This record gives sequence, C-alpha cells and structure tokens, in this order.
Amino acid sequence: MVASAVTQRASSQPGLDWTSPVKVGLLSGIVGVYLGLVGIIEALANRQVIIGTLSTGDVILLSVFVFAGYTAASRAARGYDKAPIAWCLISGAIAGFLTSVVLSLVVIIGQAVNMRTMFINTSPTLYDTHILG
Amino acid sequence: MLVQWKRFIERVTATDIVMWLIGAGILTLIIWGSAATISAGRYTRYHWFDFVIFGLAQGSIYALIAMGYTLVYGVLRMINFAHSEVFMSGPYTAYYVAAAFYSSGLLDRQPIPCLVAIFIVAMATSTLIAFLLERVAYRPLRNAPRLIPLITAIGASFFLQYTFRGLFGSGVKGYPEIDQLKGYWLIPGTQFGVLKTQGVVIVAAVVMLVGLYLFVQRTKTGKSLQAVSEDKDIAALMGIDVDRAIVITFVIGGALAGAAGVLYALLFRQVNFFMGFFPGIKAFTAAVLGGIGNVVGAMLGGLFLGIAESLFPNLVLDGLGIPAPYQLKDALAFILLVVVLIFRPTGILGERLATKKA
Repeated sequence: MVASAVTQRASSQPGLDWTSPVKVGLLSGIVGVYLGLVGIIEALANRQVIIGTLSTGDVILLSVFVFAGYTAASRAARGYDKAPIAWCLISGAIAGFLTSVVLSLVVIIGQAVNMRTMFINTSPTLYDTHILG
Repeated sequence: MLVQWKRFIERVTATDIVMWLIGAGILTLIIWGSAATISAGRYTRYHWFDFVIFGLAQGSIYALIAMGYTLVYGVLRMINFAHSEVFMSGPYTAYYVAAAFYSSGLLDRQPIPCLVAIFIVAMATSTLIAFLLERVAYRPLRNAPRLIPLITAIGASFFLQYTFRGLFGSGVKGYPEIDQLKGYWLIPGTQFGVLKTQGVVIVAAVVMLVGLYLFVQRTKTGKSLQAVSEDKDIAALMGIDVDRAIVITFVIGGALAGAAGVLYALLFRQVNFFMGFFPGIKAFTAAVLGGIGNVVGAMLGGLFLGIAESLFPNLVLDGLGIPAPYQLKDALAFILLVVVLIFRPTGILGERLATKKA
C-alpha cells in the first residue's frame, strides 16, 4: 500500500522541466521586441495612466512580463496534483528574467548601432520605455 | 455519330447556350479589337517585341510566385493567401542591403557578388517568414475545416503587411539602379533589343523554374513531396515524414517568392509594404489558369498571364477604342480569373488528381 502510494505520487509528479520557462521567456522577449519595433509601445507612450509615472506603453510592456511569468508558472504547475509553488515562482522568475534580457539586448544594440535607418521606431523614447526610465 | 450528336443535344441546357454565347462574344471582341489595332498600324514590330519581352519578364515573376501557391495547394489543399506577403518581405528587407552596397559604391564595382548577396538576404527572409507561417499559423490548423486555415491565411497576410509597415514605414523605397544593367542587349543579326534588366529577369526566372521542376521530378525529396500531395496518409505509411515534406514545400515556395521579389525590384525599382498584393493576386490567377496544384501549369499560367497583360491592352482594347487601355491591365488579370473559373475551372493543364485533402 505504501509502495503503491509512492508509485502513484511519483507518477503524478512529472519532474522539473527547465526548457519550458526558458522558451516562454525568449518568446515573450521576442513579442516585447516586436511590440516596440512596430511602434505600438511608442505610439502609446504619451498616453498616461498615472501621470508622470506610468504610461500606456509601459503598461503594454509590463503586460508582456506578466504574461511570460503567468504562462511559465501555469506550465510549471501542469501535471501536478498540487501545484509546487516554489517551482512555479522560479519558472515565472526565469521567464521574466529572460524576457528582460532580450529587451535589454535591443537597448544595448540600439545604443551601439543606429538602427533607426532601418527600423523607424527605434527611438530614444522606446529605449527609455524598455528600461522603464 | 448521329446518336452521339443526339445525346449531346439532349444534354445541352440553357445555361450552356448562354455560356457559349458569352464565350463567342468575348472571342469576337478579341478578334475585332486585334484586327482593328493591327490594321491601324499604330504599333511597329519593335513595339510588339518590347511588349512580348516585358510580358515574359513580368510573367516569369508571376510564375515564380505562383509556384508557392501551387506547391502549398498540392500538399495542403489550401490557398496560402499570405504568400503575397512572403513575396514582399524578401525584397523589402534586402532593400537595406542593396542601399548599403549602392552608397558604398560596391554595387557598381562588383554587381554580381552584390546581387547574389541581395538574393540570399531576400530569399532567406522570405523562407523564414514562410517557415514561421507554416509553423505558427497553419500547422495547428492542419485538421481543422477548410475555411479556418483560409481565414487564418488572410489574417496572416494582413498581419505581415502591417508588421512590415510598422517596422520599415509606409513610404515607397527605391531600389538602386545598377550601371551594368542599364541599356539594351541587341539580338545578333536583328535590330531588336532587349532591356538588360528584363533579360536578366527572364533568364534568372527560367533557371529557377527549371531547377524546381528537376528537383520535384528527379530528387528523392521532390518525389516525397509528390507522394504527400497524392495522399498524405499513405505517404506516412510509406515512411515519409509528412511534416518535414510540408515544411520543405513552404521553404521552397518562400525561397522562390523571395527571388521573385528581387527580380520585381530590379524591374520596377520600387518596394513598399503593399507591393505584394497585386502580384500575389495575379500569381494566384496564374496558378489557377495553369491548373492549381500543377507545377508546370503554374509556370505556363504565369508566362501566359504576363504576356496577356502586356499585349492585351494595346492589342485588343486599343482597337476597340477604349481610352488609356494600359490602366485596365490589372482588371485583365481578375477578368481572366473569372473567365478561367467559368469556362475551364481545372485550368490549362488540369488540377492534380489527389483525392483527399492532405
């Protein structure tokens, strides 16, 4: 009976999948870069949600992080009878971190190379939004 | 013989008679207009030669784009309406490479390596877009009812159009002119000249089309594509990786569309985010004209449409007294599509005879 309970618990725990939060983080980063490059973030950067603090462009960018964290956490909880909170938080953090890495890369490359000759929306406003500054 | 005629007359309906009368009317107008134009003598043989060569160049581009439509229809029984944006994405991205080469002077000093690089960038971009389209937009809907992928294709087309508009802007970008491609090549022994750009477009397109035909007919991968288009399930049972075959189809279509885009840019020297719309529709018409799903048919359909579009306005419409006939050349493609669907819906060479949707 103990053996069967252990077997049942072992079979209900799928194991830690590190690739899933990495994939989610990278894809979310690409989505964030896309939203910036096509001009959605910059177009809405002047619409203030909290005047002087938070613009609609910031909200859209932050929603990408929220989406990345939520998706990674929900995938981490899949297959478990009781969701492992620690692993879900770690997955979300990994996804969010990777999203920010991808967005930071765009800022770093943009500072070094003038991308505006090709991508017309890579303006200083966009970089400021990316670094939330 | 008499019995056969009797049976034939019994089968004829009023609709058939009306369709024949319409067809006869169209044929009469074509013959009348052509005769009037030729007898008026407005155009010399040099003009007609120029029209034919331009039509061949234009038709070659349509044929290359039509390959994508026909190959995808062959394996998936689906019209990839986003293919026009796959065609646009290549040259639009490669424009920046071309502009960089031009501003550095390399384009005129070393035109061939520069053109090769432009082709590679354009084809790589179009191939990537086609691959992502298949992976993200179409593969999840492989088993959905036919209308769903069609709507998805239209949505993907708009998505790509406006993505490129957002990325690169809505303005028209001018492709640089290559000094070595200015002017004419004279055909030896004659006084006929071919514009160098048109000559390059025709030769490049023919080489690619012949290469594709040989690939599909003679190689193992090409035969696997044919097998998948005949029957996906049986092909899978024979050990063919159906997913891989479909991806290869999209990749080939995308690469050819990217190449067609560069040829289009060489010919018309303008790119913008909307440039794929009309050539895409016309290439689709060409694919239907030749027999959708038929590779050789799409080639012939493209060439026929290109020549018809170039010749028809001046040969027929001018003779009928229609002012500014060249402005109706786009309408010609759509009229031809309707006429083909009415009178010969299987196209010139007929639709491929796979019985199931892949």
